[in-house]
Amino acid sequence: MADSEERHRDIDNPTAGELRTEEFQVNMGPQHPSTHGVCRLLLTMDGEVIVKVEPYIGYLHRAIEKIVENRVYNQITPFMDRVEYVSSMMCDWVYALSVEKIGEIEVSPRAEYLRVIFGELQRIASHLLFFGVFALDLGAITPFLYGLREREMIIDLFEETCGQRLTYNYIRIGGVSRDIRPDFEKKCRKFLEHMRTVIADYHALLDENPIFLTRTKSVGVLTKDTAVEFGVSGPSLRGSDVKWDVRKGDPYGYYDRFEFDIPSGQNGDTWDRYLMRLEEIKQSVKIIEQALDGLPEGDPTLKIKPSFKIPEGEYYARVEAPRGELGCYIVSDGKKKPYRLKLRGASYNNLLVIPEISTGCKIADLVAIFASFDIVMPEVDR
Amino acid sequence: MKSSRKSCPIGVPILENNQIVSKLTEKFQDKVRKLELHPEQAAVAVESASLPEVAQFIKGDQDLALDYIMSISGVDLLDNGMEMVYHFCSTTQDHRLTIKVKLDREKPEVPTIIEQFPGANWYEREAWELFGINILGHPKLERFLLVEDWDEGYPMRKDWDEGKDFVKMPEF
Repeated sequence: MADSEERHRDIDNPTAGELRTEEFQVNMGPQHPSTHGVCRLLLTMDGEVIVKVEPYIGYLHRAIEKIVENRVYNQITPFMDRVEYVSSMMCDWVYALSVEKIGEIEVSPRAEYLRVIFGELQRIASHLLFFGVFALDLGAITPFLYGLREREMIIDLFEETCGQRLTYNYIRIGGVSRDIRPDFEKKCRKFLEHMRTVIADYHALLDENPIFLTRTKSVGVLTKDTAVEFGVSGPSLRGSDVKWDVRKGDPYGYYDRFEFDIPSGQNGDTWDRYLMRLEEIKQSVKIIEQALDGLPEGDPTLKIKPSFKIPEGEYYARVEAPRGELGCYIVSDGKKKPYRLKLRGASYNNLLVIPEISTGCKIADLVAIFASFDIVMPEVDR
Repeated sequence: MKSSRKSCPIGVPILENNQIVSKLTEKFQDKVRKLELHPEQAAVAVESASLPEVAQFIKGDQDLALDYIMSISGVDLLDNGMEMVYHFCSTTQDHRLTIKVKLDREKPEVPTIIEQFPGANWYEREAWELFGINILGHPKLERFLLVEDWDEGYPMRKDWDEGKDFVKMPEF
């Protein structure tokens, strides 16, 4: 009971600890606006203080890993779009990467550059959505409108190039599905210029807001060791002062040719995780500009047969998606279909760590913590 | 490739793949065997019983420092038994390691590595649920992806009977 008494002293009312209290359970979700999908959190509460959090997942399980065992390699890319629809470029990319590694398929330099450009645009789009939704969960509506305004510009660029607004099916095995339009570069540069100026507005909107600061600073502190042990990745890991980024540590594509920094936080609290994403937007703008400068000529598409075989072998490919490390492990038995395909979503581990850091918080804090990890449920359930 | 890292502060010496493998084979002798999977990836096969010991070693060793679990996958090889494939990497040294554990298909069992790598929790649970691999010592082996009253076997196994409702694709 000592723990429980300690918790009560934290509450503003000093006499609360003397009252006899009883624990009870509350269901948060599966249909809860702040769980960003269908995730059920079973909370054990003592008054307003959380004693235990148990996540229940599986509501969105579509058995993608099983379905793709019955599909030829080219048919699988659209499924990958649906694994994590907020950044489907990345899922296409990681899948293409693992098939290319086993099959030793050559990718043209122009395609590699386009992948970097679209991958980073996707990262910005995803972080913009995070910026809006995170603030929305904390009760501020304006940032959502700002975030979506800029995200719309990126989506328009995507739509012009590949015809889709959410599930792009753009990065294909051996290249990309089609070349960019002649005016893409001009439009993209215009957007980047715009993004540089509005990012200051974003900071101005939230960074000095006392309500926002109180609700994020020192809330849900994730220590360095816990973050690494639990396999947390992406901005959530870097917020805990771990300078680890797949783009630097295990460069894929042409990432070793670009100049950019890895931002990292100090305290690992909700505030740091929020800030990491805004910093990453700035770095992504830098990368895209370099990629546009060096974009080589050539044909970025690869004409391959609808169904083809890759040799026996296996490879675990990974990319740095907006939410963290996205992995794709393929075992090939030399046939037209993958023998086994395993996906590793960043949100899987990021969700796993939430119960560790949210005991002792209040429900309103849990909403902030959950939102700061930017969990996307289809990636967890697959 | 690694030399181009200019603006990133992490950049301590990196072990070659065969150095990682020989370090493990020296330490564990015949419990660990070298595997050739892909030229870019160091890989070893480990006996089921000594897995926690190996996990503890690769995490604690200063040169290896494989502190991060990337993924755990079950693989059903039918006549060749089953496999648990562990992908580790190091957040400080930038190298990675694949560990394979061969399992008996009749009675697939593997000890848990939650104590060393808490992040392995749900991957192990998933392998238990979808492949029927018994995870010895796992604190919570409960269904979480399939429906609670699922009784149609282990769907990710290769010999799983799909039933009538499963729509198969026509052959290309």
